[in-house]
Amino acid sequence: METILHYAWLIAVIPLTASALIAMFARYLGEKNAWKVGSGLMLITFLLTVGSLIAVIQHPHEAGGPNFYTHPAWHIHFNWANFGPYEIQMGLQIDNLTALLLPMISLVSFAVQVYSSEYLHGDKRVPRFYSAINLFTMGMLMLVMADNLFLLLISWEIMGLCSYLLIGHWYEQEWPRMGQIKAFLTTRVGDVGMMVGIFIIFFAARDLTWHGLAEKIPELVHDPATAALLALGAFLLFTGAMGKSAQFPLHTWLPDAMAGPTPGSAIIHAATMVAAGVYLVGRAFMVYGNVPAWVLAVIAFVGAFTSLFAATIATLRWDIKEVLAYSTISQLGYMIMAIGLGGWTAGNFHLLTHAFFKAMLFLTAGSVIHAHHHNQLLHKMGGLRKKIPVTFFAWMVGYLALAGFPGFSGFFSKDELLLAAATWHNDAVHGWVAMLPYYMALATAFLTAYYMTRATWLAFFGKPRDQHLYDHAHESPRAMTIPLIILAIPAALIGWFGTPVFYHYFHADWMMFIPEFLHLPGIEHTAEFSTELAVTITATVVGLSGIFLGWLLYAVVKPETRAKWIAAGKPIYTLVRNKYYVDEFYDLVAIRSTQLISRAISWFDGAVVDGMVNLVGVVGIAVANASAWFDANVVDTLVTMWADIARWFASSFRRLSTGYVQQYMLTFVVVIVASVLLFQVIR
Amino acid sequence: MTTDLLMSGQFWTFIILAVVTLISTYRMVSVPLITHAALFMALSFTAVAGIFLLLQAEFVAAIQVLVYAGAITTMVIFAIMLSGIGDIKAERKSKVKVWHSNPFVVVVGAVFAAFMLYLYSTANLPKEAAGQNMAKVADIGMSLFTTYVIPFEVASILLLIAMVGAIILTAKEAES
Amino acid sequence: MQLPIYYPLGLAALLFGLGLWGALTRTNAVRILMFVEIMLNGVNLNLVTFSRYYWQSSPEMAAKAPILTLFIMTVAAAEASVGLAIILAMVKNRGVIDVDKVNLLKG
Repeated sequence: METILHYAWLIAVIPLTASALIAMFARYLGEKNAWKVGSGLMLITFLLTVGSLIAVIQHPHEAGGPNFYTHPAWHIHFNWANFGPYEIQMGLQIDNLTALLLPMISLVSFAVQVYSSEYLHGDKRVPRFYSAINLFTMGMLMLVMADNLFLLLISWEIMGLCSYLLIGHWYEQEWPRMGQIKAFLTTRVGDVGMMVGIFIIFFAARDLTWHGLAEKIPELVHDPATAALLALGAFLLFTGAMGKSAQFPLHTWLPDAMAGPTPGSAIIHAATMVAAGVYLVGRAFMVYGNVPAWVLAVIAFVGAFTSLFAATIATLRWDIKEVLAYSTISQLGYMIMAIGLGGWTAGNFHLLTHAFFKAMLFLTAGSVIHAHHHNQLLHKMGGLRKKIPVTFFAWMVGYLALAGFPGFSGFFSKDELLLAAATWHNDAVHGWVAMLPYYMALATAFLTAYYMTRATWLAFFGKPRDQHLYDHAHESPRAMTIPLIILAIPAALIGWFGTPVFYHYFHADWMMFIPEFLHLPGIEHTAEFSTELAVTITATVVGLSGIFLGWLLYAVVKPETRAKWIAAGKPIYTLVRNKYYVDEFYDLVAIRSTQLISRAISWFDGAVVDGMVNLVGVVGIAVANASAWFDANVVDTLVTMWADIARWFASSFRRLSTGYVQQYMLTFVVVIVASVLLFQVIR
Repeated sequence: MTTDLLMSGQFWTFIILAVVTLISTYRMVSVPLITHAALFMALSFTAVAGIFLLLQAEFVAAIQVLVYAGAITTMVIFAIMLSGIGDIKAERKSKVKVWHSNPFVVVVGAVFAAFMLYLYSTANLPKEAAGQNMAKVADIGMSLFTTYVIPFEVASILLLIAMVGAIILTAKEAES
Repeated sequence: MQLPIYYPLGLAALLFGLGLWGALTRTNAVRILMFVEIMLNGVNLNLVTFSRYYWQSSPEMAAKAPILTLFIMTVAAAEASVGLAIILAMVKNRGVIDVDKVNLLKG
């Protein structure tokens, strides 16, 4: 298996080839064959990534030995640019974190491509979709394999481009068009910060490679000024992650990104690209872990606030994809918070589990929408479980995983994450504030369980609310249900690879696989077993009570009673229903104010600047009139006199010019030959 | 002429290349279709490049192939193409009569040739080419960027001006 | 090299002569331009030949020849581009390509 790592560069090359092939032969492949090229090559990529994961597992990382940060299992690099004394390296690497994420990315991409073959049946631009999906997958694979910040930024922007293309897949319509522009511009705000952050880090460390930074940063932070500079760079780097991972206040683009095709949303806006921000913070932890503690505290609070904030919005959404979109924002906030809290392993673990179950939930939602004749609204669904059993089964797996039901993957990763929050300590934060993330995370867990129960009940249980749509609902074709089942397996089970609590009872080594494999020396959370158990029990209770509340409100309480309660809490309801007016705030502050300033400048231009210019013009005309008179009467007379003299001379010479070029040429040659001969004779 | 010379490969290579050069240049004059003339020009340039190689001027030979056989031939063919196909057909109809050219031209050419031969015979020219190596490409590059840097830059400006001029001359006029 | 210097020099002179002949007798403007290139090529051949044969007796002078050749080629390229552009403009504006039908310079 070791040899497979020598071919690991193929992991990035194959999807790129697929993308290029589909783009080049789009017309030839057409709608029917594009998915075969894309998913076939993606299957090969998946097998390669699994092979390299096995190879990395076999590659021993002894306790206390060199850690995978500085010594990846596989690393190729070359000198990309020399700037006098500094060099920029380019390269790819596979270490434990990368090896774990690669199969996830390629598997989700494969499932999405198989799924889309039916979902996009009859669409005009199928090859374009497949080309973009494969290019995107290449970007994500390269992002996690990049051995430096610069290549990471390149992959990051490739993904941004593909996200733009896929959101705007149906660009004839208003919503996708606006959504793609919004997504691109909003993430750009974060990316500017990220670029500056990269510049600052390069300025301070003169290096951008991960292993180089891991070696240099701990020494550099001894100097307080450099440490402060690096902290600023690290914070600006995090703003890039905020944009990409849709953290408050740059989260508004993600719900509008749902305008694209659902499979595209599943891979880009649920499983992988939005997780790139989390990955960045996790991957650059050698910076974050060493700079002054306030940076990590800010990250933790941004993550915690976003997760709670988005979860409250998700409770009142009626569009099934929008519920999932806000849920994604909330879960991304979770991961960001976990890494900010120093729960590095927990954050990346949750990234992995979340990718599987959220990608599956999105695909399931797509299947529901497909079955329900493109209706996305929950209040027109109901009772669908009998009509679409396979989709229902997949949804239940994803739902239970996201809600944190014991035994499903989300339960375990969320548990680790809550444990990190419970045992947090940070030099910049003291007292009760330090416990705030924990309670916020618990509240989020409760709300997550609640809104997912609500969506599940509204869609699959109860009586059909729209009899006509219900009667025509049908199970999706096999090409759509099989990917769901493929993803359901890891979505349900992957969590069992990281269960310290169960390990305490069963002592099976594989139960500690993820914590050991993603072990980052130096930031261990030493927690008593009793604390772990207490957190697990609390999380279980909170999750179950959320499920219970959802069931109570939507299965037991009558809609009329619910309406009455909503009327009682009208102001809060309106606030949350309108997503806290963040979009309106941006409209007012960023867009309206810009327009106002532009209008003021335009008025100033028209009234003041133009007036001055016109004045100059009037004066100029007067001067010109005077000089024109002088020209006509004085200067012209002199000029005409010279012309007359010249004409008199010219009339005698004009016979020589016949106008035939070759005659001139001949004369020229004759004169030259004659003059040289003459010169010889005289000499 | 010694038998040595007749036995040497260089001599025969030179003869073949020279014959190719001369015949293709003559055909340039005589061939009726101008497109064929352009192709004969490319052949002539390529053969001269071979002679440059024989004279151990690799760099000049390479530039000859690039600039003359490549760029200028392409440009000429483009010009033929753009100047309209009607003229080419018209030229094909009227058979070109090479020997009916202006006798004065022949006289001038003969005087020129005689003069050159006279100069060559009186001058004290080296009989044989000795030494092994002409200026290497590296040496040429070095002197271009040190001793001749100003002519080099002037040449670049000249090329730029030529390019701009060619564009302006051929561009469609916006007004009128 | 045993090849007497007269061979390449003679070839250069013949090339120049042929070019001159063509340039003076043919009327098509593009073809005239082609013959001008041939003449320049003959000059280049002359230069390179002298450079080769004087390599031993005066290497510094001989080393200058390729550079001069290079500049000649540069100027030839510029001349060809502008010349062809002028011819194209002539064809576009006056509809003729034969130089003996254009006598705007006639006084």
